[in-house]
Amino acid sequence: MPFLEVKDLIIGLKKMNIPLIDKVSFTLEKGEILGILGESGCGKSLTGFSLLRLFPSGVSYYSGKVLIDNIDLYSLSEKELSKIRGKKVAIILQDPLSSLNPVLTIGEQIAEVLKHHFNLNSKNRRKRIYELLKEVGISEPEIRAKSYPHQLSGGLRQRAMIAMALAGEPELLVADEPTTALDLTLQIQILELLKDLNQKKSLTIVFISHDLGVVRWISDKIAVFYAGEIVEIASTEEVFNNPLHPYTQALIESYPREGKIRKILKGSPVNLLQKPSGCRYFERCENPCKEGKNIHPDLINAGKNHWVRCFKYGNVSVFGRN
Amino acid sequence: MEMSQFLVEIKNVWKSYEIRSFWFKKQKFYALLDVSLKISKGEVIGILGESGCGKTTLGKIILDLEKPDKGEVFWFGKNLKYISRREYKSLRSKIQAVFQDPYSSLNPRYKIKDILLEPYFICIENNKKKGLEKAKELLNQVGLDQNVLNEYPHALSGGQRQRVALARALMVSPDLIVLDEPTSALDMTIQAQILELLKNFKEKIGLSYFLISHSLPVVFYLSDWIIIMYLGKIVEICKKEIFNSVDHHPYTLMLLEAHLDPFSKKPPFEKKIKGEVPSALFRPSGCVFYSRCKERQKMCLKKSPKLRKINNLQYIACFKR
Repeated sequence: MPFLEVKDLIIGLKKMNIPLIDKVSFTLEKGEILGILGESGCGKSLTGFSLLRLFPSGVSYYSGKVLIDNIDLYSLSEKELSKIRGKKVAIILQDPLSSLNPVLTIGEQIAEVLKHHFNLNSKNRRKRIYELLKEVGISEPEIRAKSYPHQLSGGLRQRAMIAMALAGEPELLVADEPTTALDLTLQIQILELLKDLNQKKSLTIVFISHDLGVVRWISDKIAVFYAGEIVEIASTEEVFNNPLHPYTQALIESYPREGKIRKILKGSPVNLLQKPSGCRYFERCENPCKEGKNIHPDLINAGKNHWVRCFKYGNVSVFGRN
Repeated sequence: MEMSQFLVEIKNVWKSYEIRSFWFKKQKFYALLDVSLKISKGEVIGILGESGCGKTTLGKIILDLEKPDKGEVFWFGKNLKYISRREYKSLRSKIQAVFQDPYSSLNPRYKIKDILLEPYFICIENNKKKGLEKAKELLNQVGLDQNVLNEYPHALSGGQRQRVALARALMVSPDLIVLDEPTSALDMTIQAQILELLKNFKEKIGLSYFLISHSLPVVFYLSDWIIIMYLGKIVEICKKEIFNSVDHHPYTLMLLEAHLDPFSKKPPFEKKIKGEVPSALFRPSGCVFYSRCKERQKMCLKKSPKLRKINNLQYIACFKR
């Protein structure tokens, strides 16, 4: 039984019948890191939020399942849900300045999580706050706990946010572009911290990013998103050494490497409001296949647990998946 | 007009900003300290550095959007302090800019047509027919359809807007374009498209760029010279061809280590990098990089190293190099 299982999850706009993420399925074992790679608007962040059952306004759940440690997230009541959020699954976001509360100190914000999930007296709670801050590499936790977010530097803020996420002792952490707003030398420190937590506490992480380099080195497994669906999912080594989907290939080839760009992908991502009935990558594909024009391909197994959504690797709808 | 061999030359420029802290006490911090550089025709200079290192300020100085506290700026060999208004006006259009965020750098109330024609009318001539011809030609060159002329910016995607911003800069036939993080707001595949476009213009019409970026691969892709800045100082200048085969400033080495290259053979995360850029308000007295340097000595705390010539292709500001 995998630790996290997402099954045919469809989430879309409330008013119109437009799925923004479409039949997303993947599984993740405990202690694994899944990297989600994709361009803006491809549904990668929404997938991250859906693991906490949090949505931006105007977006709602259509169908599908999210099982975290065998708990069906979408069958819970709000009350039950609040025991899961922060405790079983937590999230860290891109910009710590806008996601931390500016009028509360770091310590108070961490205390909120502790109050909600644990029954500690104030002395033990304070002790726990210091422990958490130390764990994420903040020196002088007694002083830092009393600082407001604006008094901390970018790196410390991001660490404080991770401490807050860890306060509920979650088993699954969703990291939505946690290093995009940070400088190069800070980025690597935060990634090292996440990797450490992953190894020491066997924390399962879903890491969302658009940076090829970051995803390459942090994750065990990569899911490539295009226009709201997974087009390829496999182990990191497989995705980089043997990319099958033409989009994944183009992403890798278009990364400037030793001063050269090997291939330039024409066009821009599909607008989800007018997405084609066939293969969503059809228009940008270099060698589009005939089937792709009208038939939507399924995610098929191309061996070695390597799943790809492309007709070139066989057509599975014959076998009845879907 | 007599032309210097350098498009822009900056000599010992200092620039400071004042901030008011909570108690209405004025505090001064230096964004640029004693920075000098030259840009030749047809060259691309790439500036690498972390946030707050002064790279955008340097771009503004080059564009004459900010006046330096001390030091001199030359455009085509003319000192901006003593230049006549007429000369200034004729040179102004030769140096253009493309900014990071194509959503805020285009006027939302102007049609693309007007966005492109405005600088043309001001700097070249007030001739709508010729201007439109040029606009159409440039749109074609940047890979946009002529239909966008009658669109407003909101109808275009990020990549398309960045192409419009580039076409607008090219409307007045500049020699140098300051590119301030031109691709960091764009998606990966779009970034590759824009980078290729920029490279094409450089090769075809000999355009020069002053490229400001925090992304190593982007700077490596476009630049002839790579300049690394730290806390308002240039710590290294290196020609791209030799970059991979020579020793560098300790900070450059740190940046190279921190960069996650998806194609490198060995995994990163060796936990060598610690700390972050200190605030420019509390600048250390000696070397700017002292607090994070692995090779620091006693003298680095007292004296600040000057940018020293290693050979014709490399300059480093470090006592140990």
